[in-house]
Amino acid sequence: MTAHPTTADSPAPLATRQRERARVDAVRHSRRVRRLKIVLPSVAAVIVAVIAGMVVISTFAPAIDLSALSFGGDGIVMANPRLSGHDKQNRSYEVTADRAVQSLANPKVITMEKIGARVELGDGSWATFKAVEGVFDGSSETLSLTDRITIDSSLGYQATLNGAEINLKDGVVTSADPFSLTSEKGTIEAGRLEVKDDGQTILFGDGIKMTLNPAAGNKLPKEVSSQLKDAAKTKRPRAEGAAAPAASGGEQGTGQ
Amino acid sequence: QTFTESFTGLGVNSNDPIQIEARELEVRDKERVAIFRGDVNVRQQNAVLKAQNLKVFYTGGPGAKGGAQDISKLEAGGKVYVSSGDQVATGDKAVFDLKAEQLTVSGNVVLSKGPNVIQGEVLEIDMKTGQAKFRSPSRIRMLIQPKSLGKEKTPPGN
Repeated sequence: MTAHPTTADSPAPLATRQRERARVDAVRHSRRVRRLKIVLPSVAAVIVAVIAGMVVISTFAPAIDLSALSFGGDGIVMANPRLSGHDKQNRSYEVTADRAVQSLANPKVITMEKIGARVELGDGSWATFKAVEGVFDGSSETLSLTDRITIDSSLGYQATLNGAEINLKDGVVTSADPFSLTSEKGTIEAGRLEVKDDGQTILFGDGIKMTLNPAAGNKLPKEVSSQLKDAAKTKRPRAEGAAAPAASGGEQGTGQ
Repeated sequence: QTFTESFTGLGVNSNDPIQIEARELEVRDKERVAIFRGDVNVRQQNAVLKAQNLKVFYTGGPGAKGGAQDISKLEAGGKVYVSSGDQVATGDKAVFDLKAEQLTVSGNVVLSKGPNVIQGEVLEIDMKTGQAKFRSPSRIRMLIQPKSLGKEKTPPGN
């Protein structure tokens, strides 16, 4: 039985251990931020004329992936951060904001002003999304958008919400304030909106009013409706899928 | 059937705007169904449907030919009231099969046109012709105002 000489190496100097822990924290932080995702509610126009008319239901769920909002190591304020990337189906998105501020008190909270996003929806259609202000809370992984949010899309839909709470973990979007969607096929107004299961379930509450004009062509041209189906079945693009492994990969947050 | 022509308002192909109001709407895309709940009120021109809930089934999955999503069926439940002009049908349930263009109202159905009233179990209305008839062997009770017969060409009876 040989006693192995204990080759205990000398305890790593205190400095390297501290540096190691800082690195681990940083990686964990960026991975958590990378999971930041927004699911915008899909809006459904649904009608049937009980008495007459064939109407089309279409749901449309732009998926906007804020993905990694990378900040300069030291910078607390980032002027017009721009972030682009593409999701698993290789559909590109781009998010910009006038300013992004990481709060000193709690580094997990990031406030963004004048957010703009543009998302490709496949076969060339796109959706743009504007919000006046949004606060991302890293600990609860929620993004709350205040004031007006406008959504526009090449599919002919415009929607306005006033404020929305987006829970990024389970992809639930709720907007407690009146919401309206217009398209040439009709309009919907509701007091409250909730989107669940990645846009598969949409609840309009607190009284809805809907007008539909079947005359506006109740049969969508083939390619448009396939995009709608496409958009509707867009799963929330996994941030991991979107983010290139290395932090500096697909996304680059360039700040001046 | 004297009530026939008066149901023309229920023709399927009118292109006028449709107004729908309800307390709540839930769209379940996976199951291709949209459910309106709470004092559902649908209006188009002079045709009206009221019910407590209204389920809209649509087809048009990603693979559907033509790709367009179309409404295939519609079920209204809870104190259903369907009216067009001075024609009114009420019942517990109404099913609109848009493919067959047929409206079926069931569950103590009352069909009235002006003073004339017919009660029965299942009322079938062909939405193309507006032809309304009670499905036999349901027990029918009919109340016809004699003076209203003057205008009708043929005496009522089915």
